[in-house]
Amino acid sequence: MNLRFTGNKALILGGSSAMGLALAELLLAEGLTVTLTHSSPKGLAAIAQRCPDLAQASPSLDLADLTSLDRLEPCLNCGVDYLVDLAQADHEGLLAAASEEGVRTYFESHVTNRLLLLKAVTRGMLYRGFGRLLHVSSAAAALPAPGQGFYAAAKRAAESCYLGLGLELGERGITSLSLRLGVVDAGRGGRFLDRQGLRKALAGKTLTVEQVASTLLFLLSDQSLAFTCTTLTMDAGLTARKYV
Amino acid sequence: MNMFLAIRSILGEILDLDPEKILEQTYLIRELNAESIDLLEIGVAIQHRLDIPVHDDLLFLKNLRTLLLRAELSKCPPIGVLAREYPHLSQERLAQILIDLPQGPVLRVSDLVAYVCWTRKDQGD
Repeated sequence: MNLRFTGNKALILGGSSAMGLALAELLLAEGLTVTLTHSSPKGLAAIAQRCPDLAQASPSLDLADLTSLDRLEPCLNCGVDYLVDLAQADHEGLLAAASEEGVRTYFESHVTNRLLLLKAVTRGMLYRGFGRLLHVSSAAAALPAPGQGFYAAAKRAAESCYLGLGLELGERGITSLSLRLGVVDAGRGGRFLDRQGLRKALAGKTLTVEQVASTLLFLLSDQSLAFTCTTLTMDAGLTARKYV
Repeated sequence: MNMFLAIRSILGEILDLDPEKILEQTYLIRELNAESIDLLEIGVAIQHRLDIPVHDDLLFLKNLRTLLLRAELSKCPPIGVLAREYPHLSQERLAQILIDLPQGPVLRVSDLVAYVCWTRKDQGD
């Protein structure tokens, strides 16, 4: 099947992650223009190594710093047709033991500032009459482990923001989707598998970066635009079982 | 550029109306039945086509009733509070708004024109 793309400019938040880089390569192969954000020098180095042509134009984005949204302006001015949101800082800790500062900072970064960013992105999409918003969520949004309360709550809130935008702007050509991923064997998912010694127990129940990137590519294509205002789960059946 | 004509064109296109029937004194919500999503589109179109930053809250006088409530609670003259928030509107227009408010949404096409002219002037155009 040949995938079709109405737009041609993609912005990937958290683009220096393994998933972001793999997706960027697929989008480039489809002939799209891609901008990857990074949040650290290490992230920029990862982009430079795997997608050297994209490193120079890669804006630094830190959701905790509202002023860093300004650095996206050149990209937004050129128009963004596809937004892929992989940006999420980990924050493990008990909700019941959370500090006031910790609560404020985390939710301001991942809910308030994310919505402000989405507002800026969708205004451009609205003007052009087309836009696809793809939010990479987590199975933890529905089934968090103890200590994942911050992460899960922020993901749920972000899912609701994406759903709301899709509902509000759908008739103006803007669609939205959240994809809840299970355990991805890369980055923090890979570290989790190693730390918990779960590689053997979860054999066949984890996702590869390539699987996720290919799925994201499909979900951005015209063929999948009817997946809108909803949440899909991709977890290799992990959360369907009563007991692991 | 004639800002009224530019805005009238945008309104006609987004609200699917004959621009000739839109006057400076026309009420956007009360007469043209503009809804929230229409206002959002109008704000975006003004921002991109006229190349100015747009703050929807100011452009569409969204916080008007909140500001008036705040003025009442703090016992400040309402017109002074509105003048600080909406520097693009004349004292005469603000006074008119206060009289007109009980009849419904007060936003007029001329308010959008005033905002655009004021913002462009502020940018040094």
